Amino acid sequence: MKKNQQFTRLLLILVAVMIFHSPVFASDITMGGQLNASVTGFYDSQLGTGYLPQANLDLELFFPRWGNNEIRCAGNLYTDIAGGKVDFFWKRLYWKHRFDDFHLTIGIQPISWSFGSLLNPVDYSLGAVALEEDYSAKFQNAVEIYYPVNWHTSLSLVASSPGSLPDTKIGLRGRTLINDFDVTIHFVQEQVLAEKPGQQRFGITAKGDIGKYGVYGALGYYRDEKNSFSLLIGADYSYFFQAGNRLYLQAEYLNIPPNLLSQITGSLLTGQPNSQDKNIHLFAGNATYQIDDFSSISLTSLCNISDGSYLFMPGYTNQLSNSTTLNIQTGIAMNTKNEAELSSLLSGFSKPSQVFIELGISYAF
Amino acid sequence: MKIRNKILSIVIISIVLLITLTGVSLAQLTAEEIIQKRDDNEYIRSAYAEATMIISQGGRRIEKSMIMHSLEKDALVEFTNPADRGTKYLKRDDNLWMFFPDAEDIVKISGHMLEQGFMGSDFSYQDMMESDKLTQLYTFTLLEEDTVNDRLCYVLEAIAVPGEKVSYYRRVTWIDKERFVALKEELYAESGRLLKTTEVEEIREIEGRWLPVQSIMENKLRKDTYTRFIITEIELNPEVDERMFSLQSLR
Repeated sequence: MKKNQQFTRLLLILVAVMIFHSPVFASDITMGGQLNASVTGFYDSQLGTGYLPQANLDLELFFPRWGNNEIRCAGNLYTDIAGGKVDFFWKRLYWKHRFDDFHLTIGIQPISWSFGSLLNPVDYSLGAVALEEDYSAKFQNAVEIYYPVNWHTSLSLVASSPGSLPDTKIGLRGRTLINDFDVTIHFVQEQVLAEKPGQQRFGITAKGDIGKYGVYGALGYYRDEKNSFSLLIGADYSYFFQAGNRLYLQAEYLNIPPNLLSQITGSLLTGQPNSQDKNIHLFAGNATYQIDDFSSISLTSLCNISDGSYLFMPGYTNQLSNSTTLNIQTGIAMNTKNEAELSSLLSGFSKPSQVFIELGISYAF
Repeated sequence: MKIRNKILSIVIISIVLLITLTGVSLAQLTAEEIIQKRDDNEYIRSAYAEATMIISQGGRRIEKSMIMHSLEKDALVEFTNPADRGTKYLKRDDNLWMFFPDAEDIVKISGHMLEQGFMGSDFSYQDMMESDKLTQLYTFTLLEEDTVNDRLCYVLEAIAVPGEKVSYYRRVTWIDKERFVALKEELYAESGRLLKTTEVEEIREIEGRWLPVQSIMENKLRKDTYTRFIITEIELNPEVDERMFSLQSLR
C-alpha cells in the first residue's frame, strides 16, 4: 500500500514536471466530470434489511495536448453517507507520448480488454466489471507500450503493479481484423516477480457478424496448479418496432472453472462450491427496450446451470435533461446452499437470498 | 424588303428554336443526371465539421455536440458535450467501432446496430456516416417538379439497389433545380410506411457548393419527435492524415 502511495506521489511529480515544461497555460485547463448520488435498499437472507445512501464524484482536469504529449488526470471521490466513510482513488494519472512507431503510457490508467461480451473470462484483470461490481480494478499503476501495425492491427504490452512489487503482472495483447471479425489474442502472467510466479492466462476472442446477428466468442486457458479452460459463446440482435422503438437482445453461454466464478460474476452470484472441480455452466443475458429517445428498460440475468442459482437485474434509465440521468437498478439473487434448496429452485419457487434496489441520479458537467 | 423579312424570320425562328431546344434539354435531364449533379454538389471527399444535434420529444430536448472528420467512406466522430464527452465512433467501410472513454475500451459494434438511432437521435448511424454516393445505393426515377420554400425542385424517387446496405428502402427527394441541393426528403420502409421526413432549414454556399448546414429530421411514427442537426463549422477537403481513421486514433 505504501509503495502504491509512493508510486502515486512519483506520478504526481512527473505530471507536474510535464505540465510545467509544456506550453499549456492554466487558462487552457478545463474541468469536468459526473456527480452520482444514490440510495440502495437491500435485503440479505443472513444480514437482514438496510439501506445505503452514497455519493461519488468523478472529476477530471482536461489538459490540452501539446505535440505528441497527453496528460490525463482524473479521480473518483466516494462517500458512504450513512457510515461517514470517504474514499478516493485515481482513475487516471498518466502521461502518454505518441512516438512515430508506438505509444508509451506511464501512470495510473484503465486497462480493459473488453470485446463486447457481458462477461469476460479473458480480461487483463478478471472481475465482475460487466456488473459494475469491481469498477476500480480496471485502473492500475501501469506502463503500456502500444504498437500499431496498421489501421486495425496492433500489439500492446502492459506491465502493472496492483500493490507490492511481487504482485506485478505483465500482459500482451494482439488485435487484428480477419474477414470483418475483430480478433484478439491475450497473454497474462500474474505475479511475474514473485518467487513462485502466479497464474498464466492465454486467451483468444473474436467478434463479428453472421447475417443480421452479431456473434462473438472467447477461449481461455489458465495455467497454474490446476490447468483449466473456459469457453464463451454469445450473440446479439436488434429488433425494430414500427414506431421506431428498439429491442436489443444479447445472450451468452460461459463454461468456466469453478474458482473463477466469483471473480467473473461478482459476489451476487456465488453459487455452490463444486467439489468435483468440474467446469461451471453459466448463461447470461440482457434485454434492453428503448421506450423513447430518452428512456429505456432493461433486464440483465445470470444463471448458474450447475447449481441452479440465478440473478435478475431489471433496470430503468431516463435522461432527464442534457446532463441529468435517472437510474433505477434492482437485483434479485437466488443462491443455493444445499441440494434441498436446489430442488426447490428447480421447481420454480424459492426465497431470494439477496435483493437490492438502487435509485440513483447522475449529473454530468 | 422581302429578303430582309425572310432573314429576320429565319433569325427569329432560330432564336425560338434555340430557346426551345435549350429548354427541352434542361427539362429532359434524366433522374440519373439530376442525382449525379446532386452528388457532385453534395458529395464531399473529405471534411472537418463541428456540429450540434438537438433531440426533441414532446416538451423535452437534449443537446449533443460533436466534431467530425471524414474521408471518402471513413468517418471519425467525437462527442464533446459533458454527458458523452470522449465517446468516439470510427466507421471504416461497413465496420463501426466505438470507444468508451471511461474504461478506454474499443469495441466493434455489431452490424445490426448501424440501423439504430445515432446516440438517441432520429438519425441512424448510417444516416450520419453514410458517405457513399447515392447513385451507388439507389435507383432513381424522376416523378415531377414542385416547389419547396419558393425554390423550384425536381422530385425524385429512389429505390434501394438490391444487396446494398441502406437505412431506407425508398426515398422521395426534392432537389433544387438550380443549386442541386436536396431541400426535402421523405424516407419510407419497404412496407410503404413513411418513417421520417427531413427538411433543410438553412443552406450555405461553401467553396462554390450549396450545402445544407441546418436540417430537421422528424420521426413520423412518434408524436412530436424530431432531431435538428446544425453544422456550426465546416472545412471542405482539409489535409487529412489517413492514420486518423484507425483504431489507434480512437485511443
